[in-house]
Amino acid sequence: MLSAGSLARTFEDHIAPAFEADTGIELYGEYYGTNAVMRLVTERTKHPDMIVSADATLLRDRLFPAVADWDIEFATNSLGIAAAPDTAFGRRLGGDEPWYDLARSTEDGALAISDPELDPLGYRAMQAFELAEAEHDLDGFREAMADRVYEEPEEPQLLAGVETGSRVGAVVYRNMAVDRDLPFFEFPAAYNFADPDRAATYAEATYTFEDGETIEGRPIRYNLTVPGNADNREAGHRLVEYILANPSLLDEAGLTVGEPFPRLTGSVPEAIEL
Amino acid sequence: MSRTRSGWLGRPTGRSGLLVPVLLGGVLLAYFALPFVTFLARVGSTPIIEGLATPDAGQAIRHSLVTAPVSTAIATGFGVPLAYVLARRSFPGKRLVEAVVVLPMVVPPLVGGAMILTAVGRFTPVGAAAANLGIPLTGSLIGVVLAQTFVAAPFVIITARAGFGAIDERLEQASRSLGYGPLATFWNVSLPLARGTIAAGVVLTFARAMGEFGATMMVAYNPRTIPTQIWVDFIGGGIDAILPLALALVGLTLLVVAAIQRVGRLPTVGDR
Repeated sequence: MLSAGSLARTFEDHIAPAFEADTGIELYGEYYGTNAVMRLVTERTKHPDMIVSADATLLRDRLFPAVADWDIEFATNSLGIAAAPDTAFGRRLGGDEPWYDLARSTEDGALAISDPELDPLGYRAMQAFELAEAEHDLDGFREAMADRVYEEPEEPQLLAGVETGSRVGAVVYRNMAVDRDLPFFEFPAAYNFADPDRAATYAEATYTFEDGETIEGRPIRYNLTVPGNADNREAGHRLVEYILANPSLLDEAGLTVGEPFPRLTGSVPEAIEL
Repeated sequence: MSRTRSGWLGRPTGRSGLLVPVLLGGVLLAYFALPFVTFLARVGSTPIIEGLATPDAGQAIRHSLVTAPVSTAIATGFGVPLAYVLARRSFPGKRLVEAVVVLPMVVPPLVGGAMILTAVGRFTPVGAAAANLGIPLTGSLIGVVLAQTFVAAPFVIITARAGFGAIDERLEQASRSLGYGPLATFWNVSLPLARGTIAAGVVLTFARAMGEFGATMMVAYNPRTIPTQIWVDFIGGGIDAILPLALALVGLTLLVVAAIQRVGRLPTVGDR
């Protein structure tokens, strides 16, 4: 299986052990950024039996129709702040003061986001700041935060900074905070990117890359597919069934399941029992 | 060594003669040691044994202990003869050969891995033929060995070459003039004389193979070696999650290095 790196812990600690115990099929996961996952498949460098993307649209754009012609959205995730519990910021977050006032008064570089140029998690943080500015009438909030935050180029390092005490917090997905046992302050649905029905609202926030390309905010949707020419399609299908039949495993891992998931696109093979 | 020889910067020798090199070396040593100490200081808060008892960790350790020695053996078996040729012969294109030998050290391991994939990847003629024969060159222990050998072999070649180069050629000529052939001379004269240096090269190659990650991840992410498993643990769990396997890697490598040094009767640094 090739999967987005943000789901490494979900598969390694939750799904793989249960799947192997229940089916006797061994699951070998490889984790990269979602962009790299798609490229490795389309360039025929890797030939997985299942592909998992952190960006449902990207999977369809890249893999349809050559690699696969169907996918299933199976979970979402929500954006918020994982805080270092032993800092003043961490203690006050989630109390009476609004998070944006606390965030605005952090020192330069104390709050981290992923690099928006490299990682959807990074530009989603910037878009969340923009949506929060509109939602709470915070004049200049996005700009103020853009100046203030530290942009971490390596996503795995993002929470290492919080754990080691060099940052007071980081804007991350909920499952990342759950993975590390860090307190998580979830943004409201208006800008946590977890609600597929708010796609139009999320799209009001944009991020413009250094090369001039602009990207609109989109809900977080994890989807998966099995390539039509996979070596072991049968095992891929069993894994898809297993994931859909055991949403509690995803929930434990910090993902958000339940309505409106799973959502099917294209003609899902009949071999997969839903 | 004469006691009256003048020391560093012209001052008389004695213990104080090493003051400057000790100070300079100490600065670097402290820089090496500090991250180790601060990293190890986190051990207290992390259950090491528990971390190593997981099936994933156990498998990774087994895979590393199988692949790194094989890679080292291949690198030594083919690399030491190459080193001897490079030390003893001049031939057209020698510079090119030397460049090829250092190439794997110049390119980042990730690029090395990408290069291997373009050569023996699953959909290349070589990779497809091997896979049809039931010998997958990627995503297999063979793939791990291919990656480790590519990245780690230059260390033993370059070190052994320096060792052969330091042998007085007249000793080899004496052997030849006594009627021994080139192979017998290599085996009975050159190899024993360069033994210490070759062992040092073997140590470097083994250590590099144990720690190899970039090329290995490209060629064979699975089955996982210790460094690949460390990466997967890090993606999901951060620094504390990698402590157990990182300690195991350092411990196992030091153990094997000590064993090689004992077998190779490698002089410790300085006593020559």
